[in-house]
Amino acid sequence: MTSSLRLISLLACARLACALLSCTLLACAPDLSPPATLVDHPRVLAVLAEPPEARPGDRAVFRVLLATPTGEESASSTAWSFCAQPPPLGSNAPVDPACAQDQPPIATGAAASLALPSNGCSRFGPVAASDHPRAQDADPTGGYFQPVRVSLADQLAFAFERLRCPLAQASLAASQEFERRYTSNTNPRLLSLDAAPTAPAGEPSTVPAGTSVTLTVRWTPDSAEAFPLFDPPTQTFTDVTEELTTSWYASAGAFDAALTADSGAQSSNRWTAPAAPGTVYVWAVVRDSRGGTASLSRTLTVPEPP
Amino acid sequence: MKVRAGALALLVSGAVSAAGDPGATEDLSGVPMQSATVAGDRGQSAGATHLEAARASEQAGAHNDALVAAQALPGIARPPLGSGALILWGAAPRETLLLVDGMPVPALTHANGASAVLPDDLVSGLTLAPASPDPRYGRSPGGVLSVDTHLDAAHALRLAMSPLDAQASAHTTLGPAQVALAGRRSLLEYLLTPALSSTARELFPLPHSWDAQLLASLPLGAHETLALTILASSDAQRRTLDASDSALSRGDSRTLRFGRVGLRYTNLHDDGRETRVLVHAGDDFSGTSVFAGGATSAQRSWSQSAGLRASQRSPLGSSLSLTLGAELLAARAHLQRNGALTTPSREGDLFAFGQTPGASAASDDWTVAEVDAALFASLPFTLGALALDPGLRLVAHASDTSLLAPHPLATADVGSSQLEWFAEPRLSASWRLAPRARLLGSAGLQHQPADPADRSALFGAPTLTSSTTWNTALGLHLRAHDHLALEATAYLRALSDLATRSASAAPAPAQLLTQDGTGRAFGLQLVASLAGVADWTAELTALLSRSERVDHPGAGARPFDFDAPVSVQAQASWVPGPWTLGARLRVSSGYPRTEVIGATFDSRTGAYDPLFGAHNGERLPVFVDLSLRAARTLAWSGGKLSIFLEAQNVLGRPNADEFAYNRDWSQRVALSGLPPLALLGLEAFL
Repeated sequence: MTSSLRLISLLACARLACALLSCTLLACAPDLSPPATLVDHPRVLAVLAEPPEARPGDRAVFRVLLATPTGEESASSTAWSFCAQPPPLGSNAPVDPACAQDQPPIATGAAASLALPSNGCSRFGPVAASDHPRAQDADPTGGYFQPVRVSLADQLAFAFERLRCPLAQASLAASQEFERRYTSNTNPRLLSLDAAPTAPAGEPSTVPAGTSVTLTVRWTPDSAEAFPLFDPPTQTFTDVTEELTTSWYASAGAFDAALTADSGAQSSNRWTAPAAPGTVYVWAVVRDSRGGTASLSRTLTVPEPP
Repeated sequence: MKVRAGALALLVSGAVSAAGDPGATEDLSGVPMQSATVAGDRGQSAGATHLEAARASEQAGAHNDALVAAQALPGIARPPLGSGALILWGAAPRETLLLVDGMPVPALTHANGASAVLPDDLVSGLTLAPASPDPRYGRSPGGVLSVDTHLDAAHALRLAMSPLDAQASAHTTLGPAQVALAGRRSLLEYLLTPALSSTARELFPLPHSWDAQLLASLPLGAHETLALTILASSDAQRRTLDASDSALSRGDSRTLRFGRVGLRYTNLHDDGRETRVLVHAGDDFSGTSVFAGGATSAQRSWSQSAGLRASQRSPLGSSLSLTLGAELLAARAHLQRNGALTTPSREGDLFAFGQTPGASAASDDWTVAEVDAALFASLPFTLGALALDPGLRLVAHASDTSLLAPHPLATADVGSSQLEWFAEPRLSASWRLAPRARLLGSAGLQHQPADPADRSALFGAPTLTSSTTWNTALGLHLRAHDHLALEATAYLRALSDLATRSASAAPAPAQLLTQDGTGRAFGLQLVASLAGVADWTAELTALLSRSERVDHPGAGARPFDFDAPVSVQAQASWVPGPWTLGARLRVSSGYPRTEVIGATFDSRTGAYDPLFGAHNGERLPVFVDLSLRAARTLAWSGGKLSIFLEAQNVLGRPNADEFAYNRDWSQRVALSGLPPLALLGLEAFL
């Protein structure tokens, strides 16, 4: 046998070995169910704040959106409190681990009107204090947030109220320009949650088992607000428009995607009905990039098979 | 026919004098060979091992790659899958100095750990010296793993192929010079990607790698040689969870590219003196990113380096010699980092695979320039049965960072410079207790400059200085029988001034890292080796180790991120004629992980964040792997063909290399390593 023939035959063997390898790898993919969209137990889907941005000391109303397999529930046992400290700078956690421990509530109920702590900008913002010499870093939209602890039953959630704080690392002129141009964030204003092609919003939709419908959530065009984003090195502003994303949830069935982006004041997702008949609850939670949140829900009916 | 496997049976050599043969090459001179085993020869330095490439590549599990076999040398814990990181005597990968022909390199294997950055035919041997007391080397508190290349003109062309990669090497002579050109390209991504499901592709990072080499050697005289080594290597890999939904996908990616050029002058004088000069330069890029839910934290580093090492060894008598030398190293690293403060994570950080990087959007761009100037000397001598090799390394380390504080408004960037002086005494000793028994000991002080990645004004601390490590080791070598050697080496490593996260809830600017960290690693390395018995060789090694860190004074000790308390390995080879049959069994502890004990919902992002239990309070499951290998060499006039078949994870163990969680952190699965796997490869010399 010539050396070239040897090479060719062994190359074929190598390809066979690869095919065997691929078969074994296929069997190794772990199962990380259930999907993020499934509401198979009571779940906090969002904490809605009105307004979503305020100055320290101002008052905001917070409401928890608690979804269950049988629809929304009023979370009357919710306990509310503020985190007093930011997370350690060496921690990747979004809140101080101490705030995840039990602490006395300052309000209870499904909704609470809370006055924001007056020291928010020094604790969670760009204002350095003697006991917090290093200012916090802003998020990509230039925002700083007051964490709000939301505790109910066996769930712990955190809302984040955007704070109107002085501009960090800015000259007086830049600070004045920022105050003149910046408008506090507002929540997206949602218009409808439609299921196509079966029924418009507000009407019961029937989706045969195993079939799909397209769900579309719509909002007002001005829900995607423009805001100035400051660049400290150049002391300049760039006008940025919020991006809206939609998180989808359902008590049964499956979505194509758990999270969808906006597409011209609306966002769509395809939902496939489960095999079992019954009433299915779906939710769309729309978030803007500055921390504003809004939600809509509707019911879908999966009929008994004929 | 030259059957390389046949050399296995011929490796038993008598013990040489304790201060004896300085070695044929620069990198072996500090650890003269004493005995021979399957895995490698033991050196004078306690715990040291030398391994010939021809033997290394034939070990089961090495895929015909000598440098891959280095991952299984005594003292090295099993590298995490897909990293190739060397965990030597409980040291961090960065603490072990990797050398190719004396040049520092960032890696000896590609990122998957399954293939080397040098082809087998260009490697003559490798030497592992844990906690090396050799004064020629600095920045090596964990030890030194040095690789020597060679040019073998017996064949003009070498072609090798396996499912992992394809390789080609060409050897020629140009006048008096010998030249070799080689290259390798990974194949798995081409062969497997069409066959794998998207999920399998997400979780099993297929390597995208290549490497290339140019070696040349020019004899300048009877005793003088000039050698050129040029290396280039590139790696990229990415792990992803939930990749089917781009908005929710989470994972990490790594990239490493480096190039090296080295020129070595060697003069072995008639009077026994040895003069060695090495000049080298390098260019590196490394990038790491962590992404989840559209948020990304990334760090990138571009660095250039250059170095000069010159030494002369002069015999001063029959039992005394003196080595004097100097080293100059210069490096400049430009780094960029953006995203959360603690991701990509560093050693000691609480982080779980798939965790959201965090909402903060910090960004920094900084430069670190460093110069090391060192003088070193060693004076090995013998006094009867006692051989001592005292050494000293004097180091001046100067460094400069571009930013002392985070970008201040409307002021010029202010950097910082610092100068450190070190005197690093080193000592190795050998005491012949009996004709077949030796006691080996070593001790040394090492300093490791702060990682440039830690010297960001925003993410770290620009004023970090070097950490300090004291290494001590004591070993007993027994040649119980002509074919049986036994070794036991105990070691203790004490580390101080380690960079660690500030304990303050609100640290001052540019002080996110402090040097309050301390650590220790101690353990026992046991080796029993059998060689030359009816074509059989066998070796049993065990490493019992403990590596701990104390992040702050008063804090409790926690396991080091790469702590592996137990690593046991048994391997055997049988060489019946042209066949080589081998087996290797590895059992090792899982690396520490921090348990996720709960989760909180983040209403701003809709994602869940983990709540952690005790730091490094649990471990990945025990790793068990049995690899088998069969090889056959066929020869014909002017060429030969070697065929090997390797079976890995024959026991079918679902060895876990990482934990992955679902999105609300309520369920956990273990990401398994390699499934039972057969690799068929060939190597042709024409």
